[in-house]
Amino acid sequence: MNDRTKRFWAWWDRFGILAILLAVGLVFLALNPRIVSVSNLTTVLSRSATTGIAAAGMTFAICAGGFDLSVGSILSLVTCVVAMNIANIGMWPSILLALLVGVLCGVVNGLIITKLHIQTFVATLATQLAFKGAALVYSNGKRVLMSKNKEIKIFSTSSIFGIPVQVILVVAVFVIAYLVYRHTRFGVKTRAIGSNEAAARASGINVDRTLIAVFVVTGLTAACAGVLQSSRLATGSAIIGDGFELDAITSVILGGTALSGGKGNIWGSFIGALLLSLIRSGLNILGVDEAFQKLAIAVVLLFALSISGIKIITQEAAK
Amino acid sequence: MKKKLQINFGELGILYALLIFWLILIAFSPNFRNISAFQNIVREASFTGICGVGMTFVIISGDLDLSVASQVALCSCVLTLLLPKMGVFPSVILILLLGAVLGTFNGVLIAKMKIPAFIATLAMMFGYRALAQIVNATPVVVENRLFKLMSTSYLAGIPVPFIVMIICGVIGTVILRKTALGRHTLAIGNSHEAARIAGISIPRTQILIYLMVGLFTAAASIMITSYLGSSNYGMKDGFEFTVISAVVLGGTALVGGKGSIFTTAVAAIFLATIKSGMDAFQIQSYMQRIIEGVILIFAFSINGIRAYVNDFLVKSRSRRELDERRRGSAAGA
Amino acid sequence: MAIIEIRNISKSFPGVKALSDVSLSIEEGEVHAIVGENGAGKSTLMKILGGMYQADSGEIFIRGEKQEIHSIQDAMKAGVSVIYQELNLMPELTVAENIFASGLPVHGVVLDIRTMNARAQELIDSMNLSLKPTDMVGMLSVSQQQMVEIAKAISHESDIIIMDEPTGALNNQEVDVLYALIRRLKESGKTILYISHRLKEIFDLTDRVSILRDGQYVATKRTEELTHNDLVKLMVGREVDQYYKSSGHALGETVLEVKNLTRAGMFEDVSFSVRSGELLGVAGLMGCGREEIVKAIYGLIRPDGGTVTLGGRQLQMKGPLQAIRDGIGFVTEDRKSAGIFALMTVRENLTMNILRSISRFGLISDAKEQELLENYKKRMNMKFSSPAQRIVNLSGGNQQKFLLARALASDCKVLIMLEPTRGIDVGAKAEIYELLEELAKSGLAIIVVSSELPEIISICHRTLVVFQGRITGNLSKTEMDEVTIMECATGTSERLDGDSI
Repeated sequence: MNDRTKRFWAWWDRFGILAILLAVGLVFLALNPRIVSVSNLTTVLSRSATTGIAAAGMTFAICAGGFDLSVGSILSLVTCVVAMNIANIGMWPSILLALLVGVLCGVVNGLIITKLHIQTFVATLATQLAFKGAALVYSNGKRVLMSKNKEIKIFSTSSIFGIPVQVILVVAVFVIAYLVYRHTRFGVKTRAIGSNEAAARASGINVDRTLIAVFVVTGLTAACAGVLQSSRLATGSAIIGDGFELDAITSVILGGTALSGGKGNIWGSFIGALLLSLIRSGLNILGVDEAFQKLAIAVVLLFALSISGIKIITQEAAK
Repeated sequence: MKKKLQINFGELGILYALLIFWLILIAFSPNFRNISAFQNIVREASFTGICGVGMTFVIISGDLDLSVASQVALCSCVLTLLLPKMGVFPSVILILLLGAVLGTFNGVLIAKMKIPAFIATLAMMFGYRALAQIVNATPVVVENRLFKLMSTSYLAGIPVPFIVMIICGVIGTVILRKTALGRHTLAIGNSHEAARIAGISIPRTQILIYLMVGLFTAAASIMITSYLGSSNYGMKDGFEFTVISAVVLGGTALVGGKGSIFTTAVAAIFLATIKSGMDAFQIQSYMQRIIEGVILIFAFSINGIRAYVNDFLVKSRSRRELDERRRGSAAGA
Repeated sequence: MAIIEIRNISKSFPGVKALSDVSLSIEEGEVHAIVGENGAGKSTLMKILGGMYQADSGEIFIRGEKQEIHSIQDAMKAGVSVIYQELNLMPELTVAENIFASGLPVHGVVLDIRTMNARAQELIDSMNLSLKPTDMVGMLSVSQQQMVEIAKAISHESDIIIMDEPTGALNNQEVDVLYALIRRLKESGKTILYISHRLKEIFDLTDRVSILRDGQYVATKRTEELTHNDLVKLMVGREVDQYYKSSGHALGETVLEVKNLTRAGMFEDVSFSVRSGELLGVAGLMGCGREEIVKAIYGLIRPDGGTVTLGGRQLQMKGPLQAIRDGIGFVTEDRKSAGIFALMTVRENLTMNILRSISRFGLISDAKEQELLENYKKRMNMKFSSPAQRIVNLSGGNQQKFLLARALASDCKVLIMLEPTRGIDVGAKAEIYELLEELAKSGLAIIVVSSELPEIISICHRTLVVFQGRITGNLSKTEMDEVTIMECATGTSERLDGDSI
C-alpha cells in the first residue's frame, strides 16, 4: 500500500464518520432546512441517547473481536423489569434491579462464550432468543404501562441548565467509556484480545475473565439504554428492543471501529449513533414511510460495512 | 484406546435421539398414537428441512446466514401478489428466481465486498424484511386452491412438502458429495488459505453457495405460503434460529469443514417433534422461546462440551497410567 | 541445586506422541541448551514448562517444589517466562503495551502510561534497540518484533527464561546484541533454557546441552566436552555422513526462468532459472523474503514487476489456479492450517486440484478418484487405514506425502516445496528426500525453500541465498556449506558465480 492510501485510511478511521455526518447534514439542509434547525438537532441528540449508550458498550465487544447480538433483548427485558416492579418497590430500586438484570445477562453471555467455547456472535444469537423469551414470559407477552409512576419520565423529559438529561447521560457514558478504554488495564486488555487472542493468552492476560467483563459492559450499557427507553415510553414490553442491536452495531461500525478487532473508536460510535438518529429524524420529517426508514438503516449499515470491506480489499491488494 | 473413548455426538446420534423421543411421546401422550400427528410433524419439519439444505452448505463453509427468515417473508409477499395475476406455475418459477437473486446479492456482499457473512446477512435480515413490508404492508390471503393443495395433499400418506424436502435433500447431498462445488465448500470450511493454495476460487464458491441458499429458501417459502394460505411481512420471525439449530444439531460443525444434509433433515424432524410435544403438553408459547434458545445454546456448545469430556477422559487415563506405573515401581522396589 | 527438575513428562497429540517419559534437570544460573531435530519435542517441552500445553503425565519441580502449571499465569508465578518461536505480539498495541500486557502499571485504577513508557524505554535502551515505546507493533519489521518479544520476556524479571529459536529472524548485529544480553542475564543469576538448531550458537553460548530425539530424552553433556560431530551424532542417532546424499544425475533444459521479479517491501530484482531435473535450494533468514519470492511465482503474491517464463511461455501470474494450469506445483510450509483440509478424507485431500479432470457431467467419478489414490499410495508408500480416513489423523510425514501427491496430480513441470520436512519424524524425512530425488531424476524441476541448512546442503544441486529481498548467493554444489550460506544470508558477502544462472 502506498503512503497516500495508508494516510487516507488513517484519516478515514478518525474523521470519516464526521465527513459522512456533515454530508448527510448538508443533504438534509437542501431537502428541508427544518431538519437541521437547532431545535430539531437537540431532539436528534436526545433521541440518539439510547442507541448511543448501548453503542458505547458494543464498541468494547467489537474491539475485543466479538459481537453482542443480545442487546436488543436485554433492553426489552429491562423495560419489563422496570415496568413490573416500579409500582411495588419504587423507581430507584426498580432501576437498580433492572441494571442488575443487565449485568446478569452479560455474565450469562460471558460464561457461555468463555466456558462453552462458542463464538461471541453465535452465543449471543442464542441468548437473544432466550432473553426475549424470558421477557415474554415475565411480562406474559403484554405491554406493561407505568401510568401511575410518571416519575420515571424525568430521565427523558427534564433538563438541567437547559440541557436535556438524556444528552447529559449519553455524554457522561461516553466520557466514562473513553476513560475506561484509554486509561485502564481493562481497556488495554480488551484491545489486546481483539488484536490477537492467542498472543494475549500467551502474554499472561486472563482472556476469559476479560471477555466476561466485556459482555458485562455491553449488558450494563444495554440495561441503561433500556431504563431510558422505558422512561421515554413509560412502558415495558418484550418487543421494544426488536432490532435495537442493529442500531447499536451500525453506530459502532460507522464510527470506524474495526470489525477485525483491536482498534476501537469510542467517539466515532457516538457520532455514528448521532448519524443514525439524524437520518431517522430527517426521513420522518420528509414523510418517508416506516418500511423505507428500516430499509435505509440496513442500507447505511451495508454502506459502513462496504467501506471497511473496501479497506480490506485495498490492504489485501497491497499484500 | 483414546479413539474408542472419544464421544461421537455427530453422525447418527440425532437419529437415535429422534427415535427414542418418538417412543417416549407415544408412550406418554395419546395425542401421538395416530398417524396424523406424525404427518403434521414431518410437514412442519419439511419447511425447516428444505431451507436447511442451503444452510448446511453455508455452515459447512464456515459462515451463517441470518437472513433466511426475511427471505422467506419477502418471497412469500411477492408470491401472493403474483399468484392471482399469473397462476401457479409461472409464479413458482419467478419466486425461485427471486430467491436466487436475493441469495446471490448476499453472496456478492460477502465474497466481493469482503463483509463477514453473519453481519452482512444480519443487515439483509432487516433489509429484506423492510422490502417485504414495502411490497405488502398488510396480510394477503391466498385464494388459489391448486396452490394450497401443494402443501396439504398427500402422496401415499406422505405429505407433499416432505417429499419436496427429500428431493431437495437428495439434490443437496449429490452436490455436496459428488461435485466440485461441494468439495470446494468443504475445503473453504476447512481452511481458506489451503483452499486458495489449492487453486479454489473462494468468491465464486461463496456466491454459488448463497445462490443455493436463496433457491432452497424460496422453495421453503413457497411451501410455507401454500400451507399458511397467506403472507405478511412479519411472518416466520425467528425461522432462521430453527434452521440453524437443525443444521447444528445435525452435527455440522459451526466452525465449518464437515457436515451432512441427511442429519440436518433428521434434526429438523427432531425440532418439529419437540415443538409438537411442547404443544401437546401445553407449554406456554413464550416459554417455548426460552426452550428454543436453550436448545440452540446446547447445539452450539456440543463441541465445547465434547472437548471437556474428552479432556477429562484423557486426563483420567494418564492419571491411571501414572498410578499403575507407580504401583509397578513400588512392587519392583 | 537443580532449579528445574522435569520428571517423566509425556504428551501426545492426535496421531503423534510428542514426548514420552522425558526427565531432565537444569542447574541454577546456567545457560542450558535443548537440542534435537525438528519434531524431537523441544518446543512441546518448552510449551509445557511455559503453561501453553499441559502434559498428559509427569511432574515438574522448581527449586524442589512440585508445580502445577496449568496456565501461562501459573508459569509466570513459578518464575518461568518464554520467548516462543511464533511471534506472540498484539499488532494493534504499542511496544510498551505489548511488553507490559500481563502487568500494566496503574495508579489505583488509572493506567500509568508515563511509567509504562519510561520503563519500556529503559528496557529498550538496555537492549540497544532503536524503537520508541509508543510505536505500534504491527508497523515493526519481523526482527524488531522478535526483539520486542525478547524484551517482553525479560520484563517479567523471571528467574528462568526460555528462548525458543530466538535468532530465527535476526541479522548478525542483532544476534550479537542477543548474545550480550544472554551473558548479562546469566551474570545476574538467571537461568536460561536455549533452544536452537544452529549448533554454532549452542557452542558459543551454553554451559550444558540436553539432547532430545523423537520425543525421548537422549543425554545431557557439558558443552565444552562435546565436538560438533558428537552433538550431531547424538541428535540424529547415527553417523553424520549417513545424512542423505543425493546421487547426482544429468540436468536437462532450463524450464523456469525468473527475470527481475520485484515487489516493493518484499523482494527486488530477483532473477534465476531452474533446469529440468534440478533440485534448487533457497535459503535465507526468517523474514528475508525467500517465501515471498516463490509465492509470487505461484501467484499467491502479486509482483510489481518482472517476468516468469515456463517452458518458453511467459506466465500471466493471475493466481494459484492459473499457476496450477501452467504446470506449477506448490507445497506450503504451513501444513496444518494452509495445506491439509483437516476434516476431509485422505481421498478428497488428494484430488482437490484436479476435480474437473476426474468428473463426468459435473459428477466426480468414484472409480477414477480411487484409482489415483491407489497409484499414489503405492508410489509414495503412504500409510492410512481407509480412503475415508480423515487426513488430520495421519502422521505429519504421511500428510506431507499427500500434499506432495496433490501437487503432482496436476502434472506439474516445476514443483515448489517450502520446508519439505518441517514437523516430520526422521524416517519419513529420508523418504521425502528420496521422493524428491526420484522426481528430479524423472525430469521435474524442484525448488526447495528451507531453513534447515543441512537439508539444503545434502539434497540440492544448487542454492540461492536471499538477504533482505535480494539474491546474494548462487552457490553450486561444491561451494555449499553452512558458513558460506550464512555469510550470504546475513549480507556479509555476495557470491553470485554459481553455474547455470
